[in-house]
Amino acid sequence: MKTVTIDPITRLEGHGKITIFLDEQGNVANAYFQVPELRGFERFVQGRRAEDMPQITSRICGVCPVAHHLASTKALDAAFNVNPPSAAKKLRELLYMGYMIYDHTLHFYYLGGPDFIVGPDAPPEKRNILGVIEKAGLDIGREVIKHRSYGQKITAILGGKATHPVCGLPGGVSKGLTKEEAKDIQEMSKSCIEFAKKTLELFDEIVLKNKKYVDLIKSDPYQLETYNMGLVDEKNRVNFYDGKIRVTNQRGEEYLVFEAEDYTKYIAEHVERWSYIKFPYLKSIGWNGFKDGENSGIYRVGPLGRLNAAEGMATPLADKEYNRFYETLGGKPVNSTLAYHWARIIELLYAAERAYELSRDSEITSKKIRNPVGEPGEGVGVVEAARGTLIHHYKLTEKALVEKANLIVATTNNASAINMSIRDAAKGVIKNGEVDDGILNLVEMAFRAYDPCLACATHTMPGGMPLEVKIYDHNHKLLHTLRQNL
Amino acid sequence: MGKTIIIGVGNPILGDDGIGIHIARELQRVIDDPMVTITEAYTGGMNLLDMMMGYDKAIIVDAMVSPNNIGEVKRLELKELPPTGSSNPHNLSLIEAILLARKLGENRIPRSIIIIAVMIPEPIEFKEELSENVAAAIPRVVAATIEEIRR
Repeated sequence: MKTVTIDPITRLEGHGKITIFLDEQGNVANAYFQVPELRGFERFVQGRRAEDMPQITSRICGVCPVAHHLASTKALDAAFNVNPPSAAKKLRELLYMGYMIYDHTLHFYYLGGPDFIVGPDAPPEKRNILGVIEKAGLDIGREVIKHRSYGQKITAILGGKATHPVCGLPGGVSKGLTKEEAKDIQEMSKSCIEFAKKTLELFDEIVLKNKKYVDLIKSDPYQLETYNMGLVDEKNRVNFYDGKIRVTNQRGEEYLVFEAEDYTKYIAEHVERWSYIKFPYLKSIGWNGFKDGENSGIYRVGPLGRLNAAEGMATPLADKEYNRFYETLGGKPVNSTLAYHWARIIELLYAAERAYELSRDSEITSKKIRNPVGEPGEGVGVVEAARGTLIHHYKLTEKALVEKANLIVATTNNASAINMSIRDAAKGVIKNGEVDDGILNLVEMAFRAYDPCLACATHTMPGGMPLEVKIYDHNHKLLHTLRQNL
Repeated sequence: MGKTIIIGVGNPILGDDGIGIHIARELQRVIDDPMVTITEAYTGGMNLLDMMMGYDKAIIVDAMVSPNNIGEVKRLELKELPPTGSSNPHNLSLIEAILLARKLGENRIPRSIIIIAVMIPEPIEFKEELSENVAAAIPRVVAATIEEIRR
């Protein structure tokens, strides 16, 4: 074993890192979550043509290209002072539902879900999609593949390309929808609704009927009483594409509602010297360290944050599930980090229902899909990425070139909470210096529930961003290293 | 010879990470063969598998982060790729995707899947340009890929 100085500032080499420090008794003193920095994005976009931004920003991340594409397009609407025609907004939203369908499906079945479906204490080599199929059956596997690909097909029909859409323009979209295409999407989304219902039944069967899992979800190490944030429509229902940003407090009451363009009035960012990620917090409450509760400005975004920040879902089946979610888990807000998984599949159902609605909307095949733009200026665009609130803010020159760009991505919004969840889970399960793979998985589960996006712009083989967990004792001696190719 | 697909993988705005894209664009210029399809990909795993379904042979050109030998070109068979863990935050590795597809009885997976990897340093900055050593590898990667098509 190697002795390493306590130095959470150590340069990160291409991987996310969780560092856990133990005290003399072998209990957790503190934990840090760090991701590497990719430099130079602001400089990279400076001087570029504004209308190229939806394409450029969709390359930031291999995971959420559609979210960046639309946040960027909306920022350009605002910067060019143009309101897109109603049909264009619906086409963008339909595109977005395709993305939500495939992204949420992917996370639930492949990435986060195996923790529950296969089991938190199953050996690591079983906690994956193949283990899921072994437990839930081959038919589920086929359904998963089929509906993930439906989500991508919907995105491809509307966006022009399957993963990196090219349709968003300031003032509207470049491509309308034919009647045949709308019909195809209608069929696919109808099937996605059934799939989402089955997914919720599976969750019921495997997780909610298992007392051990329910106890785990409700257990202390996974609770965090933060504020919650998400976009809502005019009736305070969850909306992924548009609306106002709503923040609720620890009692589930409305604390703030604001327009995207005012985000700098309400959100500030705290800097820690050990992290490249800045930690956003609510300005009116202030930064009070990595603490939860009403006196700490830390908030959560993403599926659970959104459900907590809203008063319901805008489609009937998802709304019913929404109510059952709160009835089952003891009222609003739900503070369990592990409940993100359930919230995510309720959102999957909503996305499928909403796609079905939009595909049948009489306006969806309209040819009026773009309005003329005004003079270039400054603009903010916000959408709910699968992982949470995503903000793009641009300032343009008179010639419509980018002068300044600021982005707050979902995982940044969740950074403080992720850090605390890891710390609390570690405190809950690591006792007297005893650590094994099963225990570390219980720590990682707190992290995975958020579906965090590390600097995932790289696609270099073997395919992603590894995560490393290191545990040090009170003498700064490295006790354990767990490394996974993520 | 059956149908072959060449997929250049990478992020075109992340410096050397975009080498696969540069190669795909170069190959588009020099290869004119109805049996060969050349395409670009910005994501890995399942999307790569979707792209290669129905072809007899797939050649993936990608960057591989390496502490040394920058610019070196390696030919790898699928089975030589490092095994991946179970908890990728966002994507399934290509190997996992293929295992899954096989398990579900998929019969359109290419019989031969080859990776041509170019060693690059850790990308840390957004830019479109390649570094000198990586750019210098382009002719070698193109030659290696053309040889692979004929193999």
